[in-house]
Amino acid sequence: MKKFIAAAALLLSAQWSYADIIVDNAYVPQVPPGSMAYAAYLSITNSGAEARTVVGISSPVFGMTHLHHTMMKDGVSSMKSMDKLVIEPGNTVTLQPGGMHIMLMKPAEDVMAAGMVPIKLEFKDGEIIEFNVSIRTLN
Amino acid sequence: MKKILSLVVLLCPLLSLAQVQGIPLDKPRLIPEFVLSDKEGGTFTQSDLQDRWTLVMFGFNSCPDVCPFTMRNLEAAVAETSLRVRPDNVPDVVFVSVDPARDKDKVTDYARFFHPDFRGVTGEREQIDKLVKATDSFYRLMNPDSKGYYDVQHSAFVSVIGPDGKMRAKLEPPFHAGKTAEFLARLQISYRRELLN
Ligand SMILES: [Cu+2]
Repeated sequence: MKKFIAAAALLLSAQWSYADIIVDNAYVPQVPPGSMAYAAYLSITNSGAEARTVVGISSPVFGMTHLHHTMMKDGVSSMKSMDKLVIEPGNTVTLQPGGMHIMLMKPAEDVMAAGMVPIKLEFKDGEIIEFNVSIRTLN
Repeated sequence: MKKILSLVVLLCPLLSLAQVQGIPLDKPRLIPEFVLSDKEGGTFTQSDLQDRWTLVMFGFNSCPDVCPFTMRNLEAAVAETSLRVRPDNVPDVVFVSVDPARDKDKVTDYARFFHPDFRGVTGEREQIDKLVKATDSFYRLMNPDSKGYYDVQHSAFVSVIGPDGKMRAKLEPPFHAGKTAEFLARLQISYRRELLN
């Protein structure tokens, strides 16, 4: 039974709640060999009455972080940089494969061993939130 | 007006249900001679396309989003396909890096990361371009940033090549496993019918 609970807890992805912001469904897929770029996916919900804007994203274990949008034009995919992310009141913005992602580059050497990636979001109004996103292995 | 609106609302879920996973080509495209190779020196040429089904994806190893997403989904789609077709009709999957300068030594391990049977190859620019052109695909290496990193734009579809060495369809995102498998199984049936006629 204990084992079952532990397994169930593993399956449920973490959720972090702040004053009006909830972050959940966060994960970083394990990167294949030869890749210099990690991606982080998550959803951010704004339960407050005012629009909130993410103006900065960083991670202490990566040298470079970008917010990217995968664009599909005439069947060709490319990435576009975004300098901010606006979450309207009552809305959820979801970063997911084929849509938006946080691109993480220049990893510290032990990122994979740690099994998680600390992410810091900075809002326009000065609020800073930090949480640890787990690295999801393939199987 | 209200009626139109409710019709639209009704239609939207239907449209997403009928989402296209693949497009058969009206005119199959014969793949000409080309030579690519894996890190162990094994070659991938047009003769590897004979007598089996092959799925070819173009990309690059440092692609953070589209390539890993596609490869993960192809793994699931091929597993689904193997439940529906004879073992010798289960397609091979080949990942072709269009970025040999960065990926030459890793592309083989890259593909195996997603499934031990997946092949990862690359080669000389001219050889890559032959296969890109033959499959109606596209890529472009972008300008490097101040730190020397460059992004690569590339086709997001997967080419389906039949046992006669002709490209017969394109698989399209999101590569839903069950629907892609269904599409491939049907494509194989119509291919065999065509052979009989
Ligand atoms: Cu990116």
